[in-house]
Amino acid sequence: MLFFIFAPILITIISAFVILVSPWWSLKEGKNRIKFVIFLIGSLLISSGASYGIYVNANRSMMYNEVWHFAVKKIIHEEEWTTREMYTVQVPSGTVKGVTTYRTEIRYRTQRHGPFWKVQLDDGHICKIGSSSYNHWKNIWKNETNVGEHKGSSANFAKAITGQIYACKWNDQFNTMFPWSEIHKYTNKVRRSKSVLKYKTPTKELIKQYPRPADNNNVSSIISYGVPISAEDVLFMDRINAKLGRRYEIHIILMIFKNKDKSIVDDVMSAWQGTNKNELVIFMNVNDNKITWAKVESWMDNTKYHGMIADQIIDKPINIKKLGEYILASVGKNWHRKEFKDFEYLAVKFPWYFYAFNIIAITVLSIINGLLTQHIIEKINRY
Amino acid sequence: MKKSTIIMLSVVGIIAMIIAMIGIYAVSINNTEIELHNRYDAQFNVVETTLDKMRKDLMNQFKVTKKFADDFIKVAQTQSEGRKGGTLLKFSTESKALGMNPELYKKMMNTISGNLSEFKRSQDVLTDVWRVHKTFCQKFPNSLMVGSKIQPKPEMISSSMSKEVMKTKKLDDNLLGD
Repeated sequence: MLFFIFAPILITIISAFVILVSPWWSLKEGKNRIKFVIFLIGSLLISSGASYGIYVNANRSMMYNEVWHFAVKKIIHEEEWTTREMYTVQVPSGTVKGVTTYRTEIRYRTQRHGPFWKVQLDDGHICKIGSSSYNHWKNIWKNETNVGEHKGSSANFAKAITGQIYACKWNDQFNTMFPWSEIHKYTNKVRRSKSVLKYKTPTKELIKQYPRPADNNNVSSIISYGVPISAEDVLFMDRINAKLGRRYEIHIILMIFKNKDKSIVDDVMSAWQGTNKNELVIFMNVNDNKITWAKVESWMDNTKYHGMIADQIIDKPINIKKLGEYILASVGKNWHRKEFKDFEYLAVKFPWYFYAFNIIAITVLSIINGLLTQHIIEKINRY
Repeated sequence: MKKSTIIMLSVVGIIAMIIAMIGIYAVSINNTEIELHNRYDAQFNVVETTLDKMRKDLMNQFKVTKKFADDFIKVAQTQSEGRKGGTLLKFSTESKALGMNPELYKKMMNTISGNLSEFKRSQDVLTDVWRVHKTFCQKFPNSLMVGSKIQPKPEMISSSMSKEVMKTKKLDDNLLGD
């Protein structure tokens, strides 16, 4: 951090010193003194800005994807509508002593909007969806109503179109829930540090074999390797995540394997470099439709809940619904999302090229600033 | 103003700025060392609390004696590597040996293995904070200021068998000891 504060100050001081000892800008001349002051202020501001930008970018390397779940409260359809929009243009109005003069003219155009299909999530924010998705949920919820209109207007005798607004509301019933997932970023210092809590470095093959779901925009609640899972079960688990996700900051993933050894959990954890802070990953192996082993992974300090979940499924036939219902009933008491502020003590070293790039960038910017100052002040003086 | 005066003033200014920067840097080193040192000290208390919590959880939740809790923790340590298939039979045998029903045994086992993992995590974090503090103190130029403040390596709380293995560097076939 201190490096990114000191570097622009030092570079500015050094470049000022270079100017002072050089014959380029003799400070005996008043215009050069102005140039010097402008250069100093400009250089400090520009290089500080650049240094801050590089620092922020370096910090972004500690940010990783995680999946957030929501339940859709409302779907909205806005029909296409038009509005009359004003804009201005400069048009020639004549000539004065051979020079063309201009006047500002106000004009109007017809702007088309929509059609839009949107969802309103349980935290209030709105996202766009496709028409087919809207129609799918409209047919399930069956309560579409007209909630207003966008009154149309137009310019230049074009036809004004008024668009109706329709909405369907979710009835708060679990079995009609429209689950929604998004990828967000969070800071994970452990993955970038040399902490003893860090997982062993995976091979390239392992990373390819078990890619981290959130990094590949995979927001699915069930990832199966060889065990067929019905779409109904996937939707059920997505709904469980949507119901619990926002309240408990949790993303449940079922990792289902077929006839694999338990050591596969270590491979996946290594490939993923551990779970995300909001992930509760339930690994299970299915052999002849029976779960032969189960292991649960998360960042929780106390893993009592891991054992409780495993006990529910081991030596029993695979039953996603039963597991989901158990999680639904037990997560509130037993899930404690890890606070990653606990790892603030970890020192994360930026790669050397961040420092080198910072020095080079602010030096180049300082030189450009000097040349520009010279050019602009000279031009002003000429006029 | 003469050019030589300007240059002299500039040089003095640069030196003053560099001294100020070194001063700020030194303060920053000192403050970071204090923060890490305090975090290290505090983590000892976390380890102690989690260790104590292990026995108390068993005694309070399942109304068992201190001796039974201690015995159960010893059994649980051998089981702390998650669940394997055929556990039903295993649970039945183990719970029978302790004179308990399998359901209660499972509950106790989950409680204690959860606490064991919390205890392990607290010790891992202790080691980690110590590592970060040590690296910070050893690195140049930090070592000039705080090089002497390196803390002794924290001693891990582990079974007497593990301690013996670490001392003798010999591991018997019986990994779990007597």
